[in-house]
Amino acid sequence: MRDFINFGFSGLTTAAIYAIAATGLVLTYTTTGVFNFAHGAMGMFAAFTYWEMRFGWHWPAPVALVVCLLVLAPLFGAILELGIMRRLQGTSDVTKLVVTISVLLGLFGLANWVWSPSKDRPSRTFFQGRVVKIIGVRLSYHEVTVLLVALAVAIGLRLLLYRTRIGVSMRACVDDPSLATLNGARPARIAMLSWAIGVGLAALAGVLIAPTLQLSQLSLTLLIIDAYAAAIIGRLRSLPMTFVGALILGLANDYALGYITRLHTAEQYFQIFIPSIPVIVLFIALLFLPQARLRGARLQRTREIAALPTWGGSLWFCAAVIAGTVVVATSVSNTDLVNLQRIWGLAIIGLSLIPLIGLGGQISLCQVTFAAIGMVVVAHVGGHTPLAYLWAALITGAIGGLIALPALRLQGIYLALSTAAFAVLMDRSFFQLPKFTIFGHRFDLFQAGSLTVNRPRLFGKGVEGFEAYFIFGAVVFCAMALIVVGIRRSRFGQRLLAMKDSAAAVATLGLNTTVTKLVVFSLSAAMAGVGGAVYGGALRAVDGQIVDFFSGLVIVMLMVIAGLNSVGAALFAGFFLGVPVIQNVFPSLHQLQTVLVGFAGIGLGQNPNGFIAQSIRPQWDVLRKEKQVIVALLALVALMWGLRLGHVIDNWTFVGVILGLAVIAPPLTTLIHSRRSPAPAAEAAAKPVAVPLEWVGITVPYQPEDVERMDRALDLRLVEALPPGAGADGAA
Amino acid sequence: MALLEVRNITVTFGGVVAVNDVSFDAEGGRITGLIGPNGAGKTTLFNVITGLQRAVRGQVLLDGAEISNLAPYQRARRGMARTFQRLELFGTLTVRENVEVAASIARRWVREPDAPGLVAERLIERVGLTAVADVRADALPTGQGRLVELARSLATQPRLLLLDEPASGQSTTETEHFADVLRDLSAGGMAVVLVEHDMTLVMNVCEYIHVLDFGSTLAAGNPEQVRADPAVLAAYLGSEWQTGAIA
Repeated sequence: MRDFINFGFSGLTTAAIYAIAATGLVLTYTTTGVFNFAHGAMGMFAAFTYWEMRFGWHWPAPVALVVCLLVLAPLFGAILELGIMRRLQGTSDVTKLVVTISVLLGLFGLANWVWSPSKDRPSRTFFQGRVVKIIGVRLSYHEVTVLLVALAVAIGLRLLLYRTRIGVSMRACVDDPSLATLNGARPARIAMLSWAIGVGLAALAGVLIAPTLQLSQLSLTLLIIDAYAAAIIGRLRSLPMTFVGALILGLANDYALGYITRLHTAEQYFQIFIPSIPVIVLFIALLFLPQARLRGARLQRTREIAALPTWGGSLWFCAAVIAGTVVVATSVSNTDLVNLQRIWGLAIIGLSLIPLIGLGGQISLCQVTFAAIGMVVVAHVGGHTPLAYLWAALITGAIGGLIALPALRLQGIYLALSTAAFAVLMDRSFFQLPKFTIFGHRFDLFQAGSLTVNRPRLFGKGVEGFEAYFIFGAVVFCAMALIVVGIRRSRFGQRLLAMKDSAAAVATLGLNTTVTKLVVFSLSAAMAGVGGAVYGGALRAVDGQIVDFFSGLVIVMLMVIAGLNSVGAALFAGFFLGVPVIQNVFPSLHQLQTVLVGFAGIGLGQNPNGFIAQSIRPQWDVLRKEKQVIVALLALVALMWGLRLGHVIDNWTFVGVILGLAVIAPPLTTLIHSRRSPAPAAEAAAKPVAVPLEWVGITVPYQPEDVERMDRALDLRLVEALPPGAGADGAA
Repeated sequence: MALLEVRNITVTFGGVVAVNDVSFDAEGGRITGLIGPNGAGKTTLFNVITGLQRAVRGQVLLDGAEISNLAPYQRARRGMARTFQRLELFGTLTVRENVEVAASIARRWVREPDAPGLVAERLIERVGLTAVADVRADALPTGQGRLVELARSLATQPRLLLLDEPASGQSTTETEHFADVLRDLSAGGMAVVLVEHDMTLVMNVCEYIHVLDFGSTLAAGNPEQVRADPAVLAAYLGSEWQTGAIA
């Protein structure tokens, strides 16, 4: 009984911290519609900042607390809203999510950079060592503080939302922002306030929990996953229910922690699952959420580019990739190939996101987890049969379907949450399991870190050598890329795009959206499984730490930054992660990579199409019209390759020249093209347009003369002419 | 027995009653008008019929069978299609692809499925969009967007067609062509329910009109009866207006 009360009180303290973190999350989500994935990272950053002030610069605790929690954190929230989040209005759910993930990565990278994780940072609880006795339980002052603070937050928020003018406006914004505006509320100011409060609460939770956890970037950032289990019990809406959720979570956690360690049987297995309790609660909560209403598409601010890839173009792309791979394989040393081999597995994982996010508009944050499962399957199937890849695809596909099932009937955000939860569950628990036996079959997932992933045998020959496996990876990548192109061009691909554009419309046309989502999710999981198998083969030996949630986030980010509608994005992601250029050249800057990805992602609110579709493709498209230039380029590359093989030039020169060619080719070709055929644009403009007036700006570009035509047609000569270009989006 | 029977439907949002105990029928071969001022609950009623919105009370019957608990896609497969007041086009697809998607989805249950490409070609011509068939749907003006939605819903070969303000955003000539298409469809045996503010169109094509106001039934009958109904006149034009002022 004594223990029961003891554990209960410590559970209450845990619950209090979850509650503080989760209410901040719910507050920003309901008032602004942005689910802040970086909530935990903000708490982490605040905890480190506080530590630096308190123990690094020896400021008195009250000063450090005031500066950190009441000045810096709310200020950061307000700036974040003003600079980034405000521009997210009218973008897709995926863009919103990815931007907050990029903030997470940016903060995480920055914190690792500023505060080296290898250094020990002893932290002290508040009122170190002082205790108080309540109904026979010894509670530290720190715990009492945490409980009181949570209570104060609950009362404070209640008063703010129900007793103040701005609070009432905030609640009005939750129901209907445009209506609230009509009644004099100012959504921009309200959004800024709720971000300020939200980040403040994240910081508060971070500072309070840091002394009891280790001061570690990773575990504090992942606090988000635990906190949002509570938020989901509150259905991301209700603050009181969020508190109840936090209570369930905290008590479950601490009772489990208290009692499981005393079990005498299977204790080691249960113990591995303790860190996953919030995640398990999250899954159960998801099952009880009511079905979401199908919503139509809301107006998107930026028009999405969804060009249909042609078979011809895709085959050329694959030919170029394989040719390039052969060139690289024969030019670089084996030590470099060890690293380079990893490109293809990672690129295939990137590819797996194209049907899912790019076409279907569904997000998954656990593709690397599927990749790890793929690796394990290939390793356990054993031998060198290529069929192992098929098994990897089938098993990960099935697991993927199972994971997605509870979340698919809900809105997009829940799929992101449950996949993230699954990734963390696997990281923290399943991949760390010791040997176990089910139905008489012994499982040993990673064989204590020495799991060997075989490379396949093809045509009676093993793909063992560095060059051979590097080229094999490229071939698998190309095969997968062609599958992706095939999906995009198929009826199924059309349906996916249609579902992304309007779920309500496809449903009323007779499409079962749940099954469609399930199929695309499984398919994408299966592709990631194959990617993992290829990746595992590149590493040869893997252990349970091989994947982590963060590397998965980075792949998603890279794909979105490059553009989820292009196969080239996957190549980019593979290269970026597989060839750690920055890291090799400047070892001290290895966090810069994460920070860079983070900051690049933040720009997405402006340009959700990704840089390949937006900048690179339009530049290179001109090459198609100048076949001679292509031939000349190929000849040059072949020449350089010959020189390299003959050891006339070294790798640096080789790479330098190729990069130089890549940079000058598009502008040069544009120049040649414009010399040869005088600008077709000018020609079109000179030619009188023979389309009905209503379609100007729709089927033909809108020209200044059109204003005049329209004036004449409508007999509006007296009306002041519109500035040219106004209304270029069409005569709606 | 009518093809569609709506029985005592009530929908509330929070404390607001959006639809209050409304019943009406839609028969095959008839164009039924559903009119009323903004906020009368017309679109909500469509959402209930198609399964996008749950009713608090009441039933929806198709062919005499209760379908209130079916998902939207299951209802569509029983021969129901709709258009949306706030356009729900597949914006990243072309006009042709919009119709093709619908036709390919419907292939699984329609009796004589044609190749989606053929269906699209035929319907795009029928609604008069051939010139913009390969334009992305989100580049079209609203009036044409509505025609895309019409063609798209026809691609599933529905027996019941629910049209939510299909003529708004269309020019007079477009509306006239549209009225012909509707009469054609109805003559072919389809049950059409038309929500519309364009009273000329409604009075022209509808054989039966159901008037809603603040979620409740205000009047129902053929166009002449509705036109003469004092309650309708009051709701639409203010009570001082004389009979016959509409249309």
